[in-house]
Amino acid sequence: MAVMRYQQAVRLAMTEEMRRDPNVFLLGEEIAQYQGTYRVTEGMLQEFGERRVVDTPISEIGIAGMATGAAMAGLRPVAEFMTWSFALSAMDQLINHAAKITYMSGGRIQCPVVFRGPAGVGTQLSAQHSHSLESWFAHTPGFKVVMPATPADAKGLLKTAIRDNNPIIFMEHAGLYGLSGEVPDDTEFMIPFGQAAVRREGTDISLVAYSRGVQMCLKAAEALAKDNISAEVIDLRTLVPLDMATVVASITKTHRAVVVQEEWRNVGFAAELATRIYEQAFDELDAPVERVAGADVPMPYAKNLERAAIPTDADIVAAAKRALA
Amino acid sequence: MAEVLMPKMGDGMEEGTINVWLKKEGEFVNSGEPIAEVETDKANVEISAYETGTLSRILIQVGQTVPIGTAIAFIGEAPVANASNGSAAPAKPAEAPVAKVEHAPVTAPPVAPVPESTRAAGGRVKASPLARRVAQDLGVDISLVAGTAAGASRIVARDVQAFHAKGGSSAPKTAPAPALASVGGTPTGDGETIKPSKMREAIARRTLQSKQGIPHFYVTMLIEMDRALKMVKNLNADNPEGKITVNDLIVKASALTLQRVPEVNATWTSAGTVYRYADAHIGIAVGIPEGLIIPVIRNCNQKSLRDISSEAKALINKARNNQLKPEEYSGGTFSISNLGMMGVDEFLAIINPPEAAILAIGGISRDPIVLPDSDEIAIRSRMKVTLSADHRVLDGVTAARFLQEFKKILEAPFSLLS
Repeated sequence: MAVMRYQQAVRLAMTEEMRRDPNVFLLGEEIAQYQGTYRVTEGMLQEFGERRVVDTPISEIGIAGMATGAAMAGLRPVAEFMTWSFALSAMDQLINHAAKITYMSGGRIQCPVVFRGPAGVGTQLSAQHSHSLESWFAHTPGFKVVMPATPADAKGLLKTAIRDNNPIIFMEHAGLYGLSGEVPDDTEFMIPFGQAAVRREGTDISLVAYSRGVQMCLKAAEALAKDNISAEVIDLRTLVPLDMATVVASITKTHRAVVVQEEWRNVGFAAELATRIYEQAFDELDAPVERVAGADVPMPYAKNLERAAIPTDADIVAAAKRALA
Repeated sequence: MAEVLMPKMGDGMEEGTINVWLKKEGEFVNSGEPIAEVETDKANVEISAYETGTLSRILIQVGQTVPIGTAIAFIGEAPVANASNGSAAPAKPAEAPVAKVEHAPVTAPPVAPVPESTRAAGGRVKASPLARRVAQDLGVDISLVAGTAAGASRIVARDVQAFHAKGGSSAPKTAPAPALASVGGTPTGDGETIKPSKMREAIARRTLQSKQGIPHFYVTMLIEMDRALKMVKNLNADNPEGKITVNDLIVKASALTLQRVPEVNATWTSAGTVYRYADAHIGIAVGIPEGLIIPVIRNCNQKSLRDISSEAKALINKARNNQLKPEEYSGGTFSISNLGMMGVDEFLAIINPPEAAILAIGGISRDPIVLPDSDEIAIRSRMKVTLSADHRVLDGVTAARFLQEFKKILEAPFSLLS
């Protein structure tokens, strides 16, 4: 077990998998010579050489297309988007090709590709560069959607992603890259998809989140504890597949839930989550499910406005108290 | 055409008598307008029309008594007279009388004292799904519960639990209560008819329900009481005020035992599940001239022997003076019936529903016994107790375990002072 940052854990997962399997390679903008905009691929060109750590032209549709093609041909590419906001120009390759090729080929062609990069909102990147787009991909059949919340999960889930034979949307959170935590050294440390983690046990209310939302929920749970409210925090880890069993088990205990997402509120992932709770745990609920989400506006640049548009742990505390009122 | 049904106007109402029709057949009535006055066991209440239209047919005449849910009139276009039944179709109880009323508030507005805020337009009760489930499990009629959530506009689980803890219950029963005359005799010899009191009727109804509906079984055990009696004597020597009785010891011992064998502190719910209570609310059967009443000492598991003793005294006094409030004689989770002071050796008690068990206490007698592991004979004070238990909730082994623990506590009674 070593203590490392989230961003280092992502690198460790890729390094271990590239050492293990010569078919794994990286491609993306500025990942080789420049070592990655967020330094995620630091040192990897030096270890693996330019045939396996490939700098690409500034063309997301090109990156996505090349990675999809390489995966169809038998390699296991890990394609980086400098941020997931840039992936919007690759949507045709992602949605129409990567996600569907196994279906379109009658199962004859597999597409073991990982698309990864920083997602999430904040850091004053403004309206075009500060998106949380997970529900766009979770909405599309064919993808698995992975959103780690801790350094250990970043490693364990990325390794599972690289070895999975399906196209994977792997969304890191730029705001979590500096988060430190213990990460297992084991080169076979893998976290299976579709298994949520209970990050904190509680009895009064379930806070359900993923990615940075989990960290906000843990803070909120601390604050609620001061008011003698015992909150359980669930980290979904993967949106597709989605582990409802853990969520339902928690609500069976607490009878109340707050679901948290950073993305826009309207038609977001939290709405899907809340609906499934109503479908699967209706008789357990003692209050309506509370939803905490971003404001339905293009992300403002101005710091004060940005802060107002992004959900916080205080919003989660308030939502929990509404549910318990 | 809409049927007007005999409504359920409050807890425990099973039938109603038409006192007077305020509208005549053929008369036009507006929705909300009173059309009849009904006498229940508690009061005379007006029934209002739920529909607007012509009161086309009166089915139940003044003075007639019918079960709740029975059609008493039609508003709107009347059905063609039922050919096979002839005219003036007599009171035909609906198949599921009570349930039908729940779904068809065709007649009176709800009489239940529920704050308007928890009722949506149309009288629907706003309650969380969990609250509804808990209400069903506890046998609570949710329409009687006041909500506290969302600005007192919604009933949540804690409201139902609080209501139940205060002794509220009486969910709509799925089957009509057994008719009291079901096993009645037809006396022929000399004698006089005594009209039973309301209390006698209630006892008749509840014991009949219990004995017919609950599969009782009985387990008896002998308990040596020498140490317990000595302890009572010592305690009372110390404190002549507020004397502790053997019965107080038994209540406290029951509370401790229920904590050790929580399977007994339970109820079989109308949903077909077992509900296990967190706290022990223990009822003590008190005989009074009118009959019998069971005041309940709440949270016995959290109370000291002295607290239990003084509370028991107060409740028994109130019971004898007919001063008990409803919340003081309902909501029990376990009961004790003690006929020891009447010189009874042992007896079998009828379970007080919806509880799962009742403990019948016999008298203490001084018996010669053979001492264990010797041929010597000694004199010991002994008491026989019999647990009546609901076999749906627990089995013989559990009942025996309960009595073992109970015996252990009374035979080494210092834990009662905790």
